[in-house]
Order: sequence, then structure tokens, then C-alpha cells
Amino acid sequence: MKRALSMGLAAIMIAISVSGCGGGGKTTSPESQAVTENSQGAGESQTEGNQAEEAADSNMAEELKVAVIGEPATLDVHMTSAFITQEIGYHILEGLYTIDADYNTVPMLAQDTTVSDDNTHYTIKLRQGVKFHNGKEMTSEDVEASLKRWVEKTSYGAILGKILDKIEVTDSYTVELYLTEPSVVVTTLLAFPNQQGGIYPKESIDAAGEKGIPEEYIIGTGPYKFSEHKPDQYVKLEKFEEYCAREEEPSGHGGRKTANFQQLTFVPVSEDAVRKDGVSTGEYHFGEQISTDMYDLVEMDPNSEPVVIKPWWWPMMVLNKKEGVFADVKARQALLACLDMEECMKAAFGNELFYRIDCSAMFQEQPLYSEGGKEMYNQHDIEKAKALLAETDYNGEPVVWYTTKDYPYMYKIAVVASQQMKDAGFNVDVQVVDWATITQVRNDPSAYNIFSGATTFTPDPGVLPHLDGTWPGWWENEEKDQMIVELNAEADPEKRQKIWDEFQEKWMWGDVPFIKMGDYFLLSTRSKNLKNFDEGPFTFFWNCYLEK
Amino acid sequence: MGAYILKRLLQLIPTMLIPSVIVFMLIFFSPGDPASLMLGPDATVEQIAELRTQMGYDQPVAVQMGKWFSNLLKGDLGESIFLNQPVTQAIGEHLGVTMALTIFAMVIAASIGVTLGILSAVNRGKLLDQAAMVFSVFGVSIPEFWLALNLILVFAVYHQIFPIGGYVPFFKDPAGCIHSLFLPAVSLGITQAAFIARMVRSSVLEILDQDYVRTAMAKGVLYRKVVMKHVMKNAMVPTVTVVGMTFSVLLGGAIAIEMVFNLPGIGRLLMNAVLRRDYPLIQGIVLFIAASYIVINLLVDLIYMYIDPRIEY
Repeated sequence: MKRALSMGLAAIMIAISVSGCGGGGKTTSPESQAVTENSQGAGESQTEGNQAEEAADSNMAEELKVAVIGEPATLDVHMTSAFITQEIGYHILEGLYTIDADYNTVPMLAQDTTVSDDNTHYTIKLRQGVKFHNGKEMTSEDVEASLKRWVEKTSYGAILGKILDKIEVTDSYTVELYLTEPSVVVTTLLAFPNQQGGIYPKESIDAAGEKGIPEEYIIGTGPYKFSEHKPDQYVKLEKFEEYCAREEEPSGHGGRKTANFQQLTFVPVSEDAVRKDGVSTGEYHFGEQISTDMYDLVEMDPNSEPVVIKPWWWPMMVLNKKEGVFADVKARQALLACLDMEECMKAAFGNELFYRIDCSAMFQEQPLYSEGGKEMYNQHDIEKAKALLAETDYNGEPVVWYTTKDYPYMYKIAVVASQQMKDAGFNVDVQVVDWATITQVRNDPSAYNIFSGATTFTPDPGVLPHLDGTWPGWWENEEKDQMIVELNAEADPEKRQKIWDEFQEKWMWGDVPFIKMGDYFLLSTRSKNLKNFDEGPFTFFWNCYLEK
Repeated sequence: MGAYILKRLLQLIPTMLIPSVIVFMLIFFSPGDPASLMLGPDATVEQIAELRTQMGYDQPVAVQMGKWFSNLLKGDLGESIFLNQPVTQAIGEHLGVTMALTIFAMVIAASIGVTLGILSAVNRGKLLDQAAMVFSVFGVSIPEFWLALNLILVFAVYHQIFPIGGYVPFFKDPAGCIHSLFLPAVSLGITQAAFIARMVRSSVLEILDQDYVRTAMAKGVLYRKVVMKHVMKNAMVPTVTVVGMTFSVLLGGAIAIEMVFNLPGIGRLLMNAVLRRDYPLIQGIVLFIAASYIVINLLVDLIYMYIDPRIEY
């Protein structure tokens, strides 16, 4: 006998009635209502949503201009985890699942999912009547082709790929996934917006070259369709008139999506001062990622208002465990012991609105938040660090730390933390390079001891990329890997929490493969006329509207 | 003269070859690679290595350089890694903005610079001269981007007379183009004007001390006529040199100004290409800049002949 998938999916999906385009359907069971209400609580209220739709009819600007930080390397969401590509991409493409306002996995193109008792067999029923931007109906053939490519091309896909036996198409609207070992994070992997398993028509997958899918084949089922890309000038999307929305109330990326703009324009603007001033003068309506120093200026501005994206990411020091001083766990523990996170985070982010001292790999706002290993975080115990370091073979050789001013917070953390390390007896050599250099150097185990990094918002600890032994820093440990396998195979939320608490304490803070410095939040700016905007970590522009 | 022009054009080949080789080597040996940037922060080592192989960046430098030069001989500068279009097309699309900005900035720089230089020289030591030189020192000293940010603050944010950035193509809307480029052109023009003013002043002062100027004055020719007819004509040679040099520099891309005003010109294209390690594009732009320097220098040399008939080639 099969049971329905956990993680918030079951209640919604069991009750879902198939209703062609729009799928989704009304929730009828008490359980499903409970989930829906919960989602509403954290997201936009139904009243606000209705107001948005009413306003959309009468008082809506036709174009929204978004000042983004740079030019996307590609618009193909399977090719890169770069945020700018994903951000544009999730307006065009949709996956089988997505995340709601509470960061739970909810269905998007999937209609119904059943999972075998041993968590090794997923049967995914697709919504019927969902159209691609080219007018073709989405079927399991498209899903199969897209999933196979996603598994091959993306880091999250690769996590699934390791345990994926085969993908089978049963009929036009049913796809089955067979796994070699149990996993409960399959839908989470497929839902994550930053490495989205976007579903393209099969023709797009067939047209893909070495640098990805050509722009004329960037076709999805999303509320906006790709219109025009002028490199370094803009990416334009158009409203997709035949969009098949779900019927559930909007919640985060889940539920009903309404495109309230005829045109959505993403303009690369490299200077954050220009993004801020552009919103203030009405040139743009949303300016993403501006310096947190600008918070007061935006707040005082009569035309714009600050958007604090919370939670966002966490900065970290990634330690090279393959070669050099940090191959020895004692040296890693010595490093951890000497660090004063408050001092580092304050130097990096200044205003307390934008950082939080917290040891958990999952944010407080997410499921699986954990205080495991709390006592090892933010110790600032120089004497303990010196004692631990004395137990190692370290003889004062330079500890090479690659950091960058491209992300000023990384550099500022390196400046403060390296001083604390010197106090503990490390001979730190901070190398300041551009980000492109770090992305290459970090793959060479002989080149460095530490590199600055940051962890993007992640939906589940079981899919954190840097827990993998092949990721730069090379955390190779079978016992740790086994525990991740256990975590990903456990469906019971309480048991999962217990496993993760233990993992965080024993491995993340005990083995010190990397050091999380704290949480940080992002400042963006938006026009005061932009209404019904959702301030989640994956900024999107459906359901919101712009008053004229 | 035909032979001279041909000779100068032939000089293009080694002159362009040298910077190309140097830049190729610099790029090859500097860290960072497009595959890592393209795949994003969460990519695994294997994925990056696979893409590097597919793109051919794992091959030895000699092989890559040989391939690039053989394509160059066929007139093919390759394809931009990130823009997914031929390098020549990318340069062509971005050249219009830089051309418009350069011409606009040069009009401002030359008119202010030459006028101020002459006025300053003929009023040597007087208040006007001192004021002009204060302006020159100010213009030469302040960074362009600082001036640009302040102009944005005053004229785009506080008073909203001009847009904060962006570009309207000239052939689509000439007035809109001038409006959109006004602040960047002024930012560039002011600093270049200061430079030109100093050069013109010293050239005019030097010529004012010449015997033929004294003779003309002694003959009773009007001072204004002496300055405009005798002094200026002779002072034009160094002035044209400075203007030509400035033009070359601006055509190569006013990187800071294009970044601040978000103008999709050659400067921003080059900056982004470097940050993205878009090797073919960097090579193509360097080649273009080298070529534009040579062609503009040639034009300046030809203009000398027109200004001063004593110059022959």
C-alpha cells in the first residue's frame, strides 16, 4: 500500500480535484484546509490577493522595470545556479513542485504524488491542460526529457542522480521515478527555486547545445514568457495570456499566480547607488541588492521603501580538508574556537537589521531549525584555540585565505577574523582577488587553506551542496555521508529533526568542515506604488501590481 | 600621400598583433575561468571540468592561441561566451552608444577647452586666467565617476531634469539621445575640457611670443585678428593632437562613466567581459581599441597637413 508524501504535500494533493487547466483545485478535506490556512498566515492574505486582482483591473501599470545586479550568463535554468538566471527563469518556467511562504514543498505542475512505503518509488500525476508558451500542452514526455537533463546538469539534480535508478513514463500525464535507495527529499530538490527543475518542452531540450538551450527555445509554462534579450541592456518578458494558474490561494511561489503586467523588464544595473536612485526617480520600480548602508536613505525617500529580504544567505569560511593545516580536525576546531562572530558580522553588515548571530544551518524561519552544537559557535576563546593548535603539527606556515571585495562582506569578515586567528597563533595570509578567481582557485587543493563563501537559501539540510565530499573543501567522510543518507530517507518530521540536530552538533560544528559566521539579510528597494509584493528570499513579480 | 596612408595602414598589423598576444597571455595566466562563473556558485568540480573541456579551455595555450589567430585571419573574432553572439556583433551593438557619447563629450570638451585655453592665454596672469586654471586643475584632478555621481544626485535625483541612466539610440530619437547622454557627456567633457584648456593655453602662449606675432602687432593688425588668424592656426596642431588622443581614449570606452550611467557601451562591455572571463570578447575589444587608436592617429596626422601646409608626408 502506498502512502501520500509528507512535507505538506499530502493534505493538499489528496484533496485536489483535477480540473484541467488550472489544476490545483479547491481543498475540501479538513486537513487540506489546515495546510491552506497555514500557508495564508505567513504569506499574503486572501483579502490582499483579491484587492490586488481588483486593482489589477483598473489601476495597473503595464510595465514593471526591475534593476538587477548583472547580466545573466544564460537564460537556461538548468545550466547554472547563478541567481540572476534563476530569478528571471522562475517567471518563465515552472517545476513539478515549488515552495510556499512557509518554505514547505507544494505542487506546481504536479497534480498528485504518491510515494511507496519504502520511499524508493514516486508516482507523479501531472496537471492536464497546462500549456507551454508555444501553445503545446505539457505532457510526461516533456517532463521526462527535462528531468533527465536537470539531473545531468545541476547540482541538486546530481544529488537525485546519485540515487536515481530510472525515470519512466506510464502515460501522457504520469511520470514515475525509481530510486536505488530511499529518499524523502526528491520533491524538495525539484521544488527549490534556485536550482529549479524547470520543465521545458521536449523540443527545447533537444535543441540544447554546449552553452545551454538557445534563447528562442526558452519556453516554459510560467505566467510570463520570454520576449527579448538585448545583452547588457535588458531581458523582456511578456504576460502569457493562456497561463494555466493553480486554484489554491497564493503562498510564496505556490498557489495561484497572476501576471499583472503586460511586460516585465529586467535591466542589468551594476552600481547599487544607481539601482537605489533609479527606483527613487521612477526609472525602475524595484532595485535589488543595495548596500545596507543605504537603508536610512531609502527610508527617508518619499518615492521608495526598503525591502529587507529575511532570511537570505549565510556567509562562511570554507576550509580545505584535503591538504594543509586544516586537514587536521584539531586545527579546524582551534580556528572555530578563536572566532568572535558578533565582531565579524558587525564589521560586515553594520546595521543589526541585516544580520543575526545564529549557529543553525537552517534559518529560524524554516523547518529543521536546530541549535545543535550551539556551544561550539561564537566561542572567542583564544586560550582554548592556542591549546588546540598546540596539539597539531602546525608550525606557523602561512594559512592562505582567498577572499574578495566583489562581495564586500566576505572581505570585511576576512579582515576581522584573520586578526582573531593571528591572536590564536595562525599566520594568516589573506589574498584578495575577484570572485571569478575564487571560483577557480577553490577547485585546487594545493592553492589555499580557506576561501570565503556564502550559502544560499536552502530548503532542506539534506541537500546542502557543501555537505557533499566532491564540493570544494572536500569533506570526505563516510560516516557523515551515511548520516545524510539516513536523514534523506527518514519521512517522520520528528525523527528527521533528531537526526539533523545530531548531525549539526557532531559534524557541522564538531568536525568543522566550514564555519558559518551568522545569518545575513538583504536590502532591496521598491517603489511605494508596488503593491501586494511578497518579500520572500526568491523575489518574484507575479500577483503584485503597480499603481499608476 | 596614398603611399603614406597605405604604409600606416600596414602598420596596423604588427601594432594590433602585439597587444593581442600580450592580452592573450595575460588572460591565459590569470586565474578565474568562464566555466565556473557560468555554472554558478553551487557547481561541482566535475561539472566545471566538463564544461571547460566542452569549451576547449583545457587545451594548451599554444593550441588556443593558434586557433584564435587562424580564425582571425578569416575575419572571425569568435563568439562571446556569455552574450552568445559573435564578438563583432557584440562590439557593433555596443559601439553606437560609445560613439554617441564620445562625440557628444568631445563637442563639450573641445568647445569649452579651446575657448577657455585661448581666453586664459590672452589674459595671462589676469583674474580670468587664474579662474580658468583653477577650473583646469579641478577638472583634471577630480575623478570622472565622482563628478558623475554628484551630477546624478543634483540633476537626476533632486531635480529630475535628466534620467539617472540608460540610453536612447540617436536614430530612434535624436532629442531623447541627447537628453539621455547629457550628464555622462558633461561628466566626461568637463574633465577632458580641463586637459584641452591647459594644452591650448600653453600652445597659444608659446606662439604669442613668436616673432611673426610681434611683427603683426607692430604692423597694427587688430589683436583679435592676430589671435584668431595667426596664433590659433599655429596652435591648432598640438590642440588637434590632444583632441585626437582624447577621442581615442573615449572610443576605447569610458569604463567608469558607462558603468555609473548604465550605458551599454564598449567600456562596460569590456569591464563585464573581464569580470566574466569572456576571453574571445576581451580579445576582440582589445583588438578594436588598438585599431581605433591607429586609425585616429592616422586621421590626426592627415588633419595636420590641412592645418599646416608646411607638413608633408
